[in-house]
Amino acid sequence: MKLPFLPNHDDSSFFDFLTQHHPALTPTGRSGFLQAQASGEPMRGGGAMNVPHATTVLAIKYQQGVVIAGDRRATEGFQIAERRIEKVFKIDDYSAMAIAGAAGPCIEMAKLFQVELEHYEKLEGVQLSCEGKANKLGQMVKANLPMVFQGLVVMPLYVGYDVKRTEGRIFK
Amino acid sequence: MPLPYYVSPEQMMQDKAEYAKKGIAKGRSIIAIEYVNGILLVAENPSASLYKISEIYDSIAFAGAGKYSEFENLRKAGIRHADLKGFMYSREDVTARSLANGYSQSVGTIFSQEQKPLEVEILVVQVGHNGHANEMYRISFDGSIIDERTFAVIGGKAEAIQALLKEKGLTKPPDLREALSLCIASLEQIGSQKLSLESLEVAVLDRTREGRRFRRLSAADTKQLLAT
Repeated sequence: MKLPFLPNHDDSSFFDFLTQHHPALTPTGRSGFLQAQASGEPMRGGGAMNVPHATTVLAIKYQQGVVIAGDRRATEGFQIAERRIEKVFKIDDYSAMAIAGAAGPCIEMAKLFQVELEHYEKLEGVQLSCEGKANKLGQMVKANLPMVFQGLVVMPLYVGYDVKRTEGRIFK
Repeated sequence: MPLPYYVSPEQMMQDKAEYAKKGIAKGRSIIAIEYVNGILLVAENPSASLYKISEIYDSIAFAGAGKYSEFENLRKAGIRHADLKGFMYSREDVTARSLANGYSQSVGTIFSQEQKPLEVEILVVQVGHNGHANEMYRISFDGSIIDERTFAVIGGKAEAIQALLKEKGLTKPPDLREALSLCIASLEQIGSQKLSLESLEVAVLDRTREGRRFRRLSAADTKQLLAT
């Protein structure tokens, strides 16, 4: 049965849903990348080395949980693009992530990750486990690998409070 | 070669409608009612884990009556639709109206084209904030869509409960406790049996909350609420 409103899909992952049904909306699904690949042209962009980055984000565990912090400067070459950029994002009630790398794709990934977890929670009726969330984020970072070769690096730092273990956890 | 029997379209639709109605009539009822700070949803549901009421998006909730597998599919489709829209555009662009239209399309197409119609009745409700009114849509097995005010009822004994609530003649939205006891009283009166709080599924869309406004009330929460 094919209807606009009932796509044949039974996975609980929003990221997979996008990849299958709306590839243009995923961070890696850009036509630019696909074209470069199709024409066999070596990818330009100079690689990760040329992207100046000096972001530092860090996380520390304490007794009741975990703290995450980062600086707030965004740069474009030698210029300061933004003095108070947001690098730490609330993902859901029990987790947060901080980002380092190319600002655009980083923020996009944080946003997608937020939707991903909320989507799973609504579909399944329960939240993913802390480790499950970290694994999912890992897969998303891995899916971003083609973009890394174009210099668009995304390096998230993920922290969550593990309700089962009753402690904070840090994933890098 | 034997000729296939001719069945007039009217007859076919009538048969399908009857079949769907029969399926829905077997189920229990769900009530959605406006209260001062939002919308309250109450369902008679003996299971504590198979939900009939669910969150779709920030201020949108879904309730389904009839065949579980069928409305569960619709619920998932709705969540995908809403999350996709919210991701593609913005969170405030996800509306109950567009969702209800989508549901109506899908359910209607299945009703007219498939052998077996869906034996479901669904409710899509959105709590209004910043001065906007609440929206409540009831979608029937044939895809017909009804815009409800003050309260909406779906499921087996929907009409009887609707009549009962109408009799009460609510002029202004009651507070949460009052709305809840009204729902429970109606369900009890129509089902002519006492309901334990454990056999109820209760949820609210609370406009005073930030972000995701949907909240489930456990049996303990409802007990506490009714006691105050």
